[in-house]
Parts: sequence; C-alpha cells; structure tokens
Amino acid sequence: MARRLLILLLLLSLVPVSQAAIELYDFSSEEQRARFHELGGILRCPKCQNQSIIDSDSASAGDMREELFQLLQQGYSDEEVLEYLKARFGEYIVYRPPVRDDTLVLWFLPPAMILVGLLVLVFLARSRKKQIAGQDRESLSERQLRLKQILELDKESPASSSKTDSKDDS
Amino acid sequence: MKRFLLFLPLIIFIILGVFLYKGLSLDPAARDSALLGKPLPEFTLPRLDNPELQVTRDDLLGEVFLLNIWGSWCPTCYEEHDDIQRLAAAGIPVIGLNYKDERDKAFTYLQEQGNPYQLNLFEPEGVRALAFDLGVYGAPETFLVDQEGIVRYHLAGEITPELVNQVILPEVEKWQDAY
Repeated sequence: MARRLLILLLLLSLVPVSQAAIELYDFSSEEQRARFHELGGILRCPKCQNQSIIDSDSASAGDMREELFQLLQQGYSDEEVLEYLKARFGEYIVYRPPVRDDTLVLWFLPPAMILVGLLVLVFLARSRKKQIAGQDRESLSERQLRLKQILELDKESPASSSKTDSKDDS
Repeated sequence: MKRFLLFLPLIIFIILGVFLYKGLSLDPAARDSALLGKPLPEFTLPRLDNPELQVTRDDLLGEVFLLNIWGSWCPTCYEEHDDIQRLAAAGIPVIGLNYKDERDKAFTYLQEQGNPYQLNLFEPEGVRALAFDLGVYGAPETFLVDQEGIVRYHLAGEITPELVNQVILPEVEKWQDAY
C-alpha cells in the first residue's frame, strides 16, 4: 500500500508544474525559437517576482512575450532585446544583475563566504594535527615517566593506586 | 580571543536575522521606474471617448501634468479616485490612460465615480504603446511629467491622501517652478 502511494506520488511529480504560456508563435526558424525560450527564461515577469515571463500567466508577462517575439522577428540581437526591455522596465527585468558598485556584495559575498569557510576548515585541521602531534611527543617522554611513577607508587602502597592514577597535569 | 570566536556564529546569526527581518517589510513592487529623468516616450493612441481622435506626445506637453494609469477592473483605482479628484480640483492637469480595459466599462466607471481627467487615452489589451514603453505592469500607476516632457516622478500603487500632501503636491510645485 505504502509502496503504491509512493509510486503515485513519484508519478505526480512528473506532471509539469507550469503550463502557463500556451500561445502560438510562428517562429521563422528553430534558432529563433531557441532564442525566444532562452531569453524568455532569463527575463523576469514584472508583476511577479519569482517567475520568468515564460512561466508566468500574468497579463504583463504575456505582453512581454509578445514584445519579445516581435523584437526577435525584427532581427534584434539578444543584447539589443535586453537593452530594449531594460530601458522600459529597469534592471529588475533581468534575472542576472549587472556587476556594479551597489551589487558587489550580491556577486562576491557567496564566494567570499566559501573561501572563509575553507580557510576555517584548513585552520581547524591544522590545529588538530598539531594537537595530535603534541600528544605524541608527550607520550614518548612524559608518559613513560608518569607510568614509571605510577608503577613505583603502586609498589609502595597497592591500596591507594586507584587514587593516584588521576591525570597529572603539567 | 577563543571566547570571542565562540560567539562569532551568534553574531553572524543576529546580523543576518536583522537583515532578513528588514527584508520582510520591503515592498518588492516599490522600485524606481527606469523612465525617471527620461523623456516621455513617443506614442499615438486614440482618445477613450472618441476612437477617431488620435493623441500624440506633443499634444500633452506644455505644462506639468500627472499621467494616471487606470482601469475599471482595478480595485485600487476606485480607492484612489477621490485623491485624483482632489489633485484635479487643485488645478493639476491629470491625463488618464485607460489600461487593458473595455470602452463600455470605462465609461460606466467615469459616470459612477466622476471624471477628474482632462483627457483619457485608450490602450486596451493587445496594444503595447505608451503604457508598455513606460514599463507599466499593472494599475494604478502614476507618472509626473514636466514642461519639457521629462518623467520626474513615478508611483506604482495607490495614491493616498498622505502621498498627495507630502509627495505629489510638493513634486508638482517643484517642477512647475523649475523652468
């Protein structure tokens, strides 16, 4: 039963989430169709923040798709299309923000954080290594010495051995 | 030093928390128009009340005016209608742009709500003219255009009495005095 349910759920996940745009465009070439979908995917719907104009069902996204199609028909290059739409709807319209003074944090904070994380990791690994190495060095000389002391104490008074073998901090 | 390092995650968490909490109250729709400081785009659109009469950019220029994008389908437009009437009564020319609407419904709207507009342009669904070139993606939106035809102020959303008094009227006066 559970297994069947699971299979059902998995099948359901195959249903395409968005079937928003069902319009007929008479593309003049396969290449143009590909460009339409690529540009439509990186253009953000002005009305809804988290959908591209391809995914969105809103009227303004429909307008944008129509305009995009027209621009491609008129032979605009990808760059020109983006400039054209940015001049109207602002930088907001493109998912990829430009590298500018006020977007530096946006672009470089994530890699910087990864770098810091890596450095911390390296630092931690090193200090642990040192610690282990330090312990080894102690074991050679000091531990033997401690062991000897314990053994000698043991010989003198066997009854008190359990009390004296507590760690002898140096 | 070690002590301080222990508190570092907490500090980072708090900073991030404040940052994200602030983000919750930000209005993602409130963004500057790309047209600010740019000329009003060229256009040719019919009048709402007479499809035969075409209006162009040059017909509108001459004095500071407000361009209000509205539609009878837009609930917020009803909300802000009183304020538009107040602006019009104060002697500021308000040009309407009837957006993605139908003529009949728009007429009914104006009859019932009153008509504060000096003139209404008609840009129905399927037409991409002035509203599209202004980056309009909903209604209401309001633009302030100066004597030279430069877009000086933009509001996406409802005009409120506070906005009228504190922002719009001062902006209008500022640009009326600018030349």
